[in-house]
Amino acid sequence: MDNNPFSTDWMKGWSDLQQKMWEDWSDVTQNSWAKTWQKETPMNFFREGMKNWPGAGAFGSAPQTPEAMAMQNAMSSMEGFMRMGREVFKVFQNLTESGAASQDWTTQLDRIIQQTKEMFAKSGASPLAAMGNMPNMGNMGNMGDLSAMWSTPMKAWTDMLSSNPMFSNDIMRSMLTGGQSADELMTRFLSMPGLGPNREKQEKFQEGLRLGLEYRKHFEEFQTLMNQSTSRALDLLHRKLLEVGAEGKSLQTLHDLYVLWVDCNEEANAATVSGKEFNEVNARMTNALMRVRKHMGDVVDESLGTMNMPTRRELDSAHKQISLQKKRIQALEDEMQELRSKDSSADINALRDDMEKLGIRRLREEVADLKRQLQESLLADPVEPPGSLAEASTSANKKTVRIGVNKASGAAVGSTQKGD
Amino acid sequence: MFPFAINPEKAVEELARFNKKLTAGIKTFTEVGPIESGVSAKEAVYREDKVTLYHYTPRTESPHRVPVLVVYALVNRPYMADIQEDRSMIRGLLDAGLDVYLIDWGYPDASDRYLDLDDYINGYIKRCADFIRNRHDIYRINVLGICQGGAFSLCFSALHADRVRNLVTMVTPVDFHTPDNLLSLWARGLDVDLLVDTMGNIPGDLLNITFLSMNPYRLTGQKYVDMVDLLDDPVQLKNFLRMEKWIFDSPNQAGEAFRQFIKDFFQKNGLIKGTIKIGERRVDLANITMPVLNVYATKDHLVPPDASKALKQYVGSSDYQELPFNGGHIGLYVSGRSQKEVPPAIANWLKERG
Repeated sequence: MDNNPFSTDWMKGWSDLQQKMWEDWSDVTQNSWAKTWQKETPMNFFREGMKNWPGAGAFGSAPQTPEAMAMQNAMSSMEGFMRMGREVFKVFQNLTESGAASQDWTTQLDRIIQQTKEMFAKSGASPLAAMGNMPNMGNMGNMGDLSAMWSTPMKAWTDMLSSNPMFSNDIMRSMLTGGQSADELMTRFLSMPGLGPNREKQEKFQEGLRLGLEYRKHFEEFQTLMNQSTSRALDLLHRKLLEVGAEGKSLQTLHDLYVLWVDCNEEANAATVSGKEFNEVNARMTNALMRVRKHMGDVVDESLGTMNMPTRRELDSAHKQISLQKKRIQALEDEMQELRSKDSSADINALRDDMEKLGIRRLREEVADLKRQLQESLLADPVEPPGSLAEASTSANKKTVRIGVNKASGAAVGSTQKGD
Repeated sequence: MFPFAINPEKAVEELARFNKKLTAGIKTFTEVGPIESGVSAKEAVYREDKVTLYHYTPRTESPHRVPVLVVYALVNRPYMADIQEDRSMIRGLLDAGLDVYLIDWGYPDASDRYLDLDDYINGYIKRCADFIRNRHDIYRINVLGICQGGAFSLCFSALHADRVRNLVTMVTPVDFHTPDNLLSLWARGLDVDLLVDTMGNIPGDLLNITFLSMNPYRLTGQKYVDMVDLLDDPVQLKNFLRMEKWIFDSPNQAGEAFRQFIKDFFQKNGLIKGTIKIGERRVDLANITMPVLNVYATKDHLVPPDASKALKQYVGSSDYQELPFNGGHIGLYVSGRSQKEVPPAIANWLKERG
């Protein structure tokens, strides 16, 4: 290894060392921790897991434990930080070789910032390219190693986004990365009128592509905004570094630089996402994404239906019916509970009051008079009518006429009951 | 002056140290073991569908006679309020002599797709409250609502004022259209009907991403780089992982309830406009006539202080009090300072009101 710390040989040795340490560590984690903690998870925990999990597709992603997810994010960030260290080293190496560190470092800094901004601007033409290691998206290789440094804080974020089932469907990804020639093909295909017995299928497929292209357009708008935000973050970093230099201070560690860069990104991001434009673009993109997914769901549902398999629509319908039944049952239970717990003494008292108002004593006397008159008339006329009035008269001694109030009509009603 | 004092030796040393910590950290990771949370002793006393009502074992000999029902948000899990022994709002309330119940909403699945806010507020919350009222043979209980659970508690208290003795709201959004409410800004342009009709239940991951995207670079990048410094301390690492577990432990949201909450609360700002209907009844905050304690965090980026403080203008209570906490949305529950300040203050406020 050369004694000059910024020489290429030294750099290569150092870089190899970093790589080896990282790989060793990853091996250790795969072979030991994965076995001890993730015994039941059939995935190669760190690197392989990070590669494979996002690709699992939107329809059947295996659930991940919170711990595993946290570690996935942690590994992504740590790897990014170390990569950043390597790239920063290269930048300093270039600065040293050009003598900029001791001479016109501000011009060199301007140049680096400018180059990086151009790099991000270029990536804007190819959506997602700036968003890091999303699977099948070029892995930022076209942006050079320097991009890795600047995208470090973004990487964990984009890894997380790409691992979300909503964003990770292969079909949608291919729509997003089709490129210009694919666009032309699609446009030509979309202009074809539907023909023959497959007309409906063709139209549905065309509709899906149309929605996909619409989503792509809105995603590009979103990506452009995000790239602008990164560009602003670079401007902020530039300004803050100049301020640090002007104050005669300096960043002491790579971690200091990393934190400053994160701060700049957060500041730029906050300004972007709180703006009206972002809200509109974000809403358009999300709504377009939902339209694509809705269409895809409908198509899948239709296919399932032709195979006599349960569809989402049928399941939803069943769940809705169950939900309505549950509500009805609950309402009935509530009503029963209310009736059970209701204090009926107030009703009884009210009934007694009603009876008092009706003058029950007077009514009883009237009934007794009527009975007396009836018995007297029967005695005066010994011929018994059919239906045994005599029986009625004897049983009348055991029964009393009760007077109540029909709550519905308010009219007095009479009934006979045993005893009093 | 050149703004970097990062010479090659120092840079190599720093990265080597970083690597060394990582390598050594594997041992700590293997020794950390399962991440447990929800530390206070509790017993499930009532279950319905996926909802469980827990009763925490009192930690004082004769707890306050009026029990407190904690109503947590549907987003994330309620063990955040009891995350570890020295970071537990629940424990703080128990130690201060309160008798505490908590509703755990569980993890909704496809069969819960059609649960709406009526089911949650006039259903589950009401029945949990009634269970406690019967169990303690009292007419009214104390209700403590957290975040979205606070909004639910407001609705419940407005609709069932006869069941609530005192109401405590914590980091609760009331005015959803304050200018600094980023979540509300994002939600307003969304076609929620399309979202729910497409996704059914709303995946917890989607909500996670939404929350993280408020500080994406710090929360998904820097935090993990800084974690390396914790790797040689098993206790600190476990605490970190416990929080991580909570952050990513996000239940899916029942589709209809989500639709209603986003449309009526976020988009139409119906809570302060009095336009929200739960079941057949309109929610009028003026019906909240019981004493109200409104706890908010001054550095809350999810529910800005102004969004919470708006309650004062709309609530019908003549006994309204605010308790500001100098911290963030999560810090209110898990910071060391909040343990000393917040639960005792809530307990005292409740005890003063019988």
